Amino acid sequence: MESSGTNTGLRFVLLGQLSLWAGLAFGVIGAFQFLWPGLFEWMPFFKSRPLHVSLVVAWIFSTAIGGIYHYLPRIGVPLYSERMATWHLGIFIATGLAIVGSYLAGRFGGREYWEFPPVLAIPIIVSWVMFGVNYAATVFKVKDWPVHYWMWATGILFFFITYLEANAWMVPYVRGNLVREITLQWKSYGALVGSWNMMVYGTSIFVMSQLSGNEDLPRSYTAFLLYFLGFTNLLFGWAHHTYVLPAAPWVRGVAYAVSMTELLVLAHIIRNWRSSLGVMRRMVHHRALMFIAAAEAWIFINLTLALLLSVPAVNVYTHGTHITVAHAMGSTIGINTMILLASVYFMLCPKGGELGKRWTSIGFWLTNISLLTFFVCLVAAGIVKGRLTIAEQLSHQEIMVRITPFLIGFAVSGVGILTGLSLILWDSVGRTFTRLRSEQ
Amino acid sequence: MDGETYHCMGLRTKRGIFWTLILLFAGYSVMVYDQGTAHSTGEEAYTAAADRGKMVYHQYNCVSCHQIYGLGGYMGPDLTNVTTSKGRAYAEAFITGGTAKMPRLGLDRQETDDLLDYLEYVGKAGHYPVTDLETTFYGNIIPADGK
Ligand code: HEC
Ligand code: HEM
Repeated sequence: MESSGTNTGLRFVLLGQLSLWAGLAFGVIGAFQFLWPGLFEWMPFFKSRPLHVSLVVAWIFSTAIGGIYHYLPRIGVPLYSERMATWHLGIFIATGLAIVGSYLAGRFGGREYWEFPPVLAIPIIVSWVMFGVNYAATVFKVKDWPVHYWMWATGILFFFITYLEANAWMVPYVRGNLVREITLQWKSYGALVGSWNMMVYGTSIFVMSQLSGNEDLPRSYTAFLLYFLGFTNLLFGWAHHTYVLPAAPWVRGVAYAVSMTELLVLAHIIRNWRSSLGVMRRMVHHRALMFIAAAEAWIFINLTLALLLSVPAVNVYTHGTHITVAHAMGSTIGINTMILLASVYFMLCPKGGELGKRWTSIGFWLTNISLLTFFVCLVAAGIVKGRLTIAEQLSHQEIMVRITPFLIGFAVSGVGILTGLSLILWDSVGRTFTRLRSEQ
Repeated sequence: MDGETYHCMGLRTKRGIFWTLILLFAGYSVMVYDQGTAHSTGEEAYTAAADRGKMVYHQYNCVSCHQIYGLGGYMGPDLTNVTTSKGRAYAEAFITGGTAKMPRLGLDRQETDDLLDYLEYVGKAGHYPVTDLETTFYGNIIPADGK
């Protein structure tokens, strides 16, 4: 890759890694608060949870955005405006600090995942418009896009849609009707997750095509079929989160039918398992590949779980239990975080080279093994809770007592994830700093 | 994806599929916003006080620990039907007093009343968890009230 462009992309990536580190710490605090609610009076769960979720989501967005800013100029597509990118970074940091500050001060006002005071939506939208304009003006010069350009564009576009819908509760037509309000909230989360997934999966395809030196891969028929399938699910599959709401039955029917098309993706993964491993083996040896391989395994595991949860008859039991948390974190850690770490390493060392540090390998394995335990504990806690809630109709207090052993396993394996990722971050953050200093 | 030759999709086909999906999404969204969610029982309970109560629910971040229709954080119980099934006074006791596991959040009288009005409105809109339902052979569900 040519070296051109400024290092705004890398700065986004540095910010992302630091957010992840902080977010992990709050996650671990939150997990132990399930066991000891009085732990850390100064940081109650109603602060630690939003801090955790917002910071790890910031890691996902910041690192994906950073990758786009970083890669495009280095493959001969200079950014339309470097200055706009710098402004984007500035607003992103300022808004991020304001959000963290408002949580620490206990000032809330928004809804789940956007619990900060609603005025902060303004800078978020402004900076996102800058990003969208800059991206569009940059890639419109390129004719026939490879699939990752489409995916990045879709991710950027859907952030606007999620944002509009996430704030729709402010309109009386929406908030005066509970069913409508909750349905729209979850419709907006479908677009949110779809937005970051598109950006992250696009990054993965880009990194893979660079490592394999095969520029046709992201232009293939299959790549586009999978993209359109994912897109369809983003658009119409969200209502699997709201099966239990008393909305019109067809809302449930559409989501169920569309969600099942993901079976095709599952079939595709199984069919191509050996050959995609073969492709990987023939590539340049690179640390990034290790993370991509882990992400592939997690896609398989999470997709299987997600398909099960999308069957309404299963969902009535699993909805509102820790299985949802297993699904959320299984995918954001196993898939998104693994892909983004691959991207970070690819960015830092595009040619591979001396990457074989022992501690990062230990960190990699510790993270993945802990994540498996973490995932299994949450699924088990969810199954027990679902059964006790629906079949035995026990009270919340009784249920919490029964699932405590799993919650202990969850918290302890969470420490494993924190430790494993810290070993990796120690290395990658250090390298990012060195790289930024050398480019100054 | 091991083959050396790749078949590519034409640009027009790609654009066509993309814009068709976007249009379908726009149409479907309108249907969901409108008819799909038009019917909600207990709308008359959405008073000005309940509306303020919703903001109180946001401001004290009850959602970090509680769920409505199973959506929210999992430290505390689901609150969908707490006032309608266990009573207003019961809920009020938790909100004003706290417990070993739920912090005392220090709401004032007005905020507490508004919040309780909101919870009553929530409780009147439906039931959760859905325990009374039938399952179809292909895995769909039909709640007893037909929805
Ligand atoms: C830090 C977490 C936390 C926060 C924040 C919180 N709660 Fe709770 N709440 C709990 C827990 C845990 C319980 C279960 C009580 C117990 O086991 O002692 C509970 C119980 C309740 C109950 C009784 C429910 C039942 O079915 O028994 C109500 C009502 C309630 N909370 C309302 C609220 C409201 C309203 C807010 C916001 C103003 C709120 N809570 C904020 C944790 C929390
Ligand atoms: C890369 C790392 C991580 C990511 C991306 C991540 C992401 C998330 C997300 C998206 C949620 C919201 C889930 C939901 O609403 O259902 C969540 C919740 C949570 N996470 Fe994490 N997480 C990470 C690591 C951890 C770790 C290491 C712990 C420590 C055990 C942890 C503990 C928690 C807790 C306690 C909750 C709240 C669950 C609840 O409300 O019941 N997370 N996380």
